[in-house]
Amino acid sequence: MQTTHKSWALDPGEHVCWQVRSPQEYAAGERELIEHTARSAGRLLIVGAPAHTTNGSGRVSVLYPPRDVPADGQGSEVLRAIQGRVQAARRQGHVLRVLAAMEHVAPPHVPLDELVGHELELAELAAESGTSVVCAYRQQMWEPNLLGDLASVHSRVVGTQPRTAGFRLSRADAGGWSLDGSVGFESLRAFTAALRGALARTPRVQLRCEMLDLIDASALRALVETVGQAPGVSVVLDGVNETVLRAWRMSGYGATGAAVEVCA
Amino acid sequence: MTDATPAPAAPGFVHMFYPYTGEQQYLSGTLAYIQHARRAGGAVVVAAPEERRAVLGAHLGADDGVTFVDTAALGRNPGLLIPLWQDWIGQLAVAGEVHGINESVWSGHDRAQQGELRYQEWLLNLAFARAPAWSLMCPVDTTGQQADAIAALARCHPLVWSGDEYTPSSDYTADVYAFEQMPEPPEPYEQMAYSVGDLHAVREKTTRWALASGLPTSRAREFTLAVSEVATNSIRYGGGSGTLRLWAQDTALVCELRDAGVITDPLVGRIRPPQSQLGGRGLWFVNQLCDLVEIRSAPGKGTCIRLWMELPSDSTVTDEQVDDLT
Repeated sequence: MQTTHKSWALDPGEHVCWQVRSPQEYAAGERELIEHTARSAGRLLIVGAPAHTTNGSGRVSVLYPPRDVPADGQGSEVLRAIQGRVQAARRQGHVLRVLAAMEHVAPPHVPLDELVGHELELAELAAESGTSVVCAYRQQMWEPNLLGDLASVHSRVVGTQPRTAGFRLSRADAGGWSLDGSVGFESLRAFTAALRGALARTPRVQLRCEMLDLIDASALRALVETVGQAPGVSVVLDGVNETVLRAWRMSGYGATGAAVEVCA
Repeated sequence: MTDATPAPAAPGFVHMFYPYTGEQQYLSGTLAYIQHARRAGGAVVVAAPEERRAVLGAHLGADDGVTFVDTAALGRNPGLLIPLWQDWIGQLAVAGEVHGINESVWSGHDRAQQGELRYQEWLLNLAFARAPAWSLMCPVDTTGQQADAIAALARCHPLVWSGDEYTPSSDYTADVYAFEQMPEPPEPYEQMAYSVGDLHAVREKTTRWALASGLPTSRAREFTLAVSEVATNSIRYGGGSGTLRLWAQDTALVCELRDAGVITDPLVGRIRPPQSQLGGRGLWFVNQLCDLVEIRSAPGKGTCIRLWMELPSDSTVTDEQVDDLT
């Protein structure tokens, strides 16, 4: 594992994965984010219990799910509440930043597919509203492999770097999704979860692949199988390099009627 | 058994060796084979270097029903021989029996290429053992060739073509192929052990090393994909770990991957996977991507796979190129 420097100079629409080693690190990071937000005259929404008192400036608000969301509300209801706060801030002419302690969005025992689905929804919210979203995962609460998989559906990782899945699925500037890095056997769990999550949001998924280095035989198979398991859906890998295109042609999957299109 | 025609009487593969010396003997033997084949009503495919196709074509009429194919598609990699013949036969088999002439280029190749070319000739017997009836005659110009090299080739063919008939070869070894020993890599070489979770690191190391060694970006990516496929097999089937070694040799880059697994099917990766089969494409990719693939595997010894990629003659590389891709 390696540690990267935390930078809270967030770009508008960034969807960041923050992997937190300790409560002290969380508290320090939260403070830095509050201070950085104040310096940039922005506003911050903290999802979960804040580590610091937040009253006074009016620049920091809190969404505390047990209190602010229906008692049995988890996951999608918390996301609806976040979206509501973001839209309300926009109506008032403010751009909100979001710091979400992810154990308050979904309990750590939920399946990867569900978590990835939440993350893709947050990625869309960030891209469409210009809101920067920081998803804080406290490492003592989450299974290490899960954190590696979840890192692959964010545009950036700060804090302790997990053993990453090798690829990254993030929102593309022009809409749709961007698939970067390399997708191999070690990525299959995260890759299929990301594909299923994207397909759940739209039946025709377009992946911009200009930054995709390679995709191996097992991942092409996973792609074809995942698409084949959901009738009526299709995936387009657009802008692939010649190696990815060659791998697709060598696989012969294109001749099997798979609803997958791969083009340069 | 002696037969005046190369056309087999029953379904099966008739694979014969035709050692010849000089153009005159080449022409008499190949033209006789083609004549027998056409008389039997079969289609004929000639896969040979350009100059041989020109010589033969000059002695055949336009309506002789002979299809010429370019062996340039093989490139350096003899591992493409079987799938190419699968394709050529597939295109002509609808017309009935197929008779092929397969002439490889033996001169100008190094030890590894020649060894692999011989092995492919031997593997043809396995690959087409259950194929519909077809015959393949392999002419080899013995001029300037070492006697042991010709003897090694004779061991790969069950039959020998005399010039107008075929007879069983007493040299043929059907059961176990006798590989030449692979030499140790030349110094210096790089080495890394890998296990579950290291595939990304294996890919990064291969790409960086290949680019720094002068491989163009697209070929470096292809090399990396091939290495990744073999390393993945180590993780999945080879005991979960392996060792990667990388070195430059003459005009090529070589990646060697060793693990504790055993490959029991000698044809793995050599035959195009059927569309109905979803898996089994890793070593198929490897054979298609690399310029040469050597596979050695045996119980108690594990598996060693060497992947070769030719360097371009004018390879230059910048640090920016390396950084861009890694």
